[in-house]
Formats: sequence, structure tokens, C-alpha cells
Amino acid sequence: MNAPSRDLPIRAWTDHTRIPYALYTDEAIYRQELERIFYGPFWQPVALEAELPAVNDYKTIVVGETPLIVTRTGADEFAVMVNACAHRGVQITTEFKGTASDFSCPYHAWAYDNCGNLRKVPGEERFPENFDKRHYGLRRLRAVLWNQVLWATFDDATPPIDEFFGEVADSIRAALGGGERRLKLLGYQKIIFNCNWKVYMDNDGYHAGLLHTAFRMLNYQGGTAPLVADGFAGHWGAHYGAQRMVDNGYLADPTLVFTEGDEKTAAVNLLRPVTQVVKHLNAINFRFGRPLGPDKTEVHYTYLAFADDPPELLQHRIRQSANLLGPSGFVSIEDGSMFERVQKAMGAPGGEINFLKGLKDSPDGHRSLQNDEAGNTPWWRYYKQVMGL
Amino acid sequence: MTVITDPGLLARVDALQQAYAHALDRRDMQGWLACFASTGRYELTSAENVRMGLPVGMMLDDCHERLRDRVKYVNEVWNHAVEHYLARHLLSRDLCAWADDGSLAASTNFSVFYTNAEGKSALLAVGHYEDIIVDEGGALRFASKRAVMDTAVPPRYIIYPL
Repeated sequence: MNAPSRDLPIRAWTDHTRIPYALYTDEAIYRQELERIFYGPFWQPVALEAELPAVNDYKTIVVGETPLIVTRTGADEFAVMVNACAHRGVQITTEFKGTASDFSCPYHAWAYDNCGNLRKVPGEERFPENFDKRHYGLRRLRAVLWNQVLWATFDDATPPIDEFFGEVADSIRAALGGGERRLKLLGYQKIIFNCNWKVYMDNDGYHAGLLHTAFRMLNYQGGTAPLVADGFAGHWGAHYGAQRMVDNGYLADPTLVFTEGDEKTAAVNLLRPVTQVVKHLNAINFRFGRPLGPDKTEVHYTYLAFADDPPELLQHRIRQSANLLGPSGFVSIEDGSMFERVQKAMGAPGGEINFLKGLKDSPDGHRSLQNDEAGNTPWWRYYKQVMGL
Repeated sequence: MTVITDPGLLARVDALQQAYAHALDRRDMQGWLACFASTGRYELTSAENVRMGLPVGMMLDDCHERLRDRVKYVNEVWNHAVEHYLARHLLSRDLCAWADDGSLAASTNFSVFYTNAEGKSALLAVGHYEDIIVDEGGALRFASKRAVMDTAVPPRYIIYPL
């Protein structure tokens, strides 16, 4: 299915547990990733239902390098369109979010409804005889609503979403409240990490107790939960009973790390290509990612609560979300630092990234432990295949 | 809202803002903390979140305990693993006014530049402060300091408050 690549700097890559630096730095590799992964057979998130609560709400987002408009066209209906006029390619809207029942291109006033159908064209009487509005709608992407998230794909060959996520579906569902409770939007933390998108995604549990000083200061041991790497592209998911943090007096305001209510489990998901879905303590966090070339990644940390949260719990969620697990978070700021330090070191010729921990007991990486790195390897096996390397 | 024109009072407000920027530009977190009232709060968010009425931004220290914890984050917790940068705050007073409840409300524009260890500089964020200032024992302090970034997507992770 995947023709061998031509003109790429990778000649003899045989071991998917040892990743050549060039895969994280090379422009030609990046171009091919756009074509085969970002525009290939993957479901990628474009909106949370909670971001578009009312009919006619819309948002814009970029997938790969393609700007999209996502509209809520009905109670449970959404449309995902390329944000480019079918006439001359002008971006239809430049807003991040808004409400509109139709869209008009400012250049020549071509008017579309919010499903992307062309409705009005000035000067049509001077168009060629065979002009037909039906052929000039905005390009629509296939989209599916799954777990209160709208997923879209550019590729007709993308498998059904349950199959795409495989066993990891359970921990995605767990991170988003099990599917029954409505989610509500709390806010965004947007950031650029100066690293390749795959460096950002290579993150795993091996480092948690070693890198994160916050855990040491709190005497927090974490756990060794089972982890599953499955689905169509080696998605990585862990759903586990989270050990509660106990106040040891280090923080003046220990509520930052308290778990309120009966939310006893945590769930961490790395979804290929560049999405992360995390629920830890009471913070619910959906991370839309986007590559900006081979050496930068933009991430939109999107925080959520449950619509039926009582006021005190809602307030706790807001306070925990803002300070704990984001790009400037008490625990997680160090992750971003590591991403960038990895990227900077990758200029060395012939260097490679090594995945080791956990492969002894889990050579295929399918089932491993959360604090191993074996769970990253099914993804890399798939990457090698989809890239034809 | 009554606009404040008293030059003496404006000079005191400016001195507080300058002390704040001075502390951050020297990574003096105790100096940063000293600018807040005993009931002080600090928030860093984006204008985008504010426009949408969303409460979660980049940092939220809504009580003095959290302000003190932030000093610890920077000085103790993150110190060994983050890539430090030098911050440089440029401030410009926009408006000072008496709010209807008798407190002093100040709006101040900021641009914050950062310089990394290699000596390369760039803009970290541009935006404005929305502050509530009180007189505590004869000194002006922030009862509330809210840094609202026009920059919705900063070019690197932010370590220190703005």
C-alpha cells in the first residue's frame, strides 16, 4: 500500500525501537508525513462538542497545514470544511470562533450556507454555460461525532473509528467522563513547543518519577498501571486507579493536588498523530496538536468540566486545571523543557533515539506498564510502514 | 469610574508597577511576592479566553498561599530542568481610575521580551494588566493583578509570571 520513499535521508532503517534523528528534523520527511499521515488514513479531532454548544456556532482549526471551518449545523449535526473559497481560494473566515448561519467570501461575495453549499454568486449570467453551483461548494471532510468529540479525516480509506482506536477507546472514554456526562468548556492554554511533533508525542510514563521534581517534593510515588498500545496506529492509552496525593506540607495550598469527589481513576492517552487526552485528579484536558514544520509543534490545551458539576467542584476543577498539567503547570512544565532539549540535540549526524524500558517483558509493546516506554514502539512500527521507510 | 489625575498618586502607582517589573526582570520571586497585598491574587490568561468568558488561563493564583507556592515552583521545583530565560518588561500606563467600590483600578500595557541562554531574544507576549491596587499600611499593593495576553500562542513555554 505504501510505495517506497524516494529522496529521503533514511537509507537503512531496520529497527523501529531505534529512531534516527533525521526523522525528527528533515523537511522532506515532514512533507511526506503531511501527505501520508495528516492527510492519510487517520481520524483527527477538529472540535469538542462543548466548544460549539449552540446551532450555528463555528470554530476554525488547522489540521496538518490545512485550515478548516467546523460548524454545528443541527442538534447533533456538524460540518467540517476546508476554509478556502471554491472560487479563488480565499480564507472564508479568519476568526477562531463565532456564530453564523452562512458564510460569505469577502473577495467576490460568493455566499455559502454553513454546510458549505454554494448559495449565491454575483454575476453568474456571464459565467460559462456549464457552470453549476452544486460543483462549487466548500470541500467537505468526512466527520464523525464520538465521545463528544468531532473527528475528521481527509482519506476515504480511514477505518471506522472504533476500529481505528481499538482497545484504547476505553481509556479515551474514561478520560472524557465515560460518555454519559456532558462536558463543558473551561478555557484554553495555547503554546508552541520548539520540537518536532513526534518528540512531543514520544512522551511516556518512564520519566514521571525521575524528571518531575513536583512528585518528589510531594512524596508522590504514582503507580505502575497496565498500559495498552493498540488500534490502527499504535495509540497509547492507560486507564488506572490513581493514587491520591497526600498533603505533606510542601505546598501552602495543597488543594492544587487534591482529588475531590469520587473520581478515583486517571487516564492518559496519546492518539496518533498528535492528540493527547488526559484526565488526572480532577483536571480534564484535551490537547489538539498541530505541526508547524519539522521543528515546532503548536498545542491547544483545552480544559473541560462536567456540565452537572456542583459549584464547589467546578471551582476546584478551574483552579487545578490552570496550574497543574499545562505548559506552565506545576508538574508538567518540565515536559516541555525536555521536548525542546531533545530537539536541539538532534543536529548530530547518525544519532538516534532509543526505546528500551519494558521491551524485555513486552517485545511487541502491545501490553506494557505505564512507567515503561515499550508502549511507544507499536506506533513507530506503524509509522515505518505508513511512511514506506 | 473617575479617572485619576493626581500626579502624586500616579507616581506611587507607577512605582509599584516598576517594582513589579524590576523583580521579574531579575528573577526575584520574593520581590514579586512583595508587590501583592495579603489578600492578593494573580492571574495570567489570554485576551481570547477573556473574550469568551472562559475562566482557565495559563496561571491562576487566587489566594496568597498560591502566590507563595509560585515562588517555590520557580525557585525550588522547576529550577533544575527548565530552560531559563531572561525576561524584560516594558510597561506603559494606560489608565488609572477610582472604581465604583472605591478601589483603585489600573490598566497598564506590557510587552515582555525574553532572551535565552544562547543570547537570542524575541517577544514572549504583548498585552495589558488589569489591576486592583490597595493601600496596605501606607504602601500600595496589588489586591489583584491580571495579566491578559493579546498573544494567544506564546512562542515558548512561560516559566515566570508576567
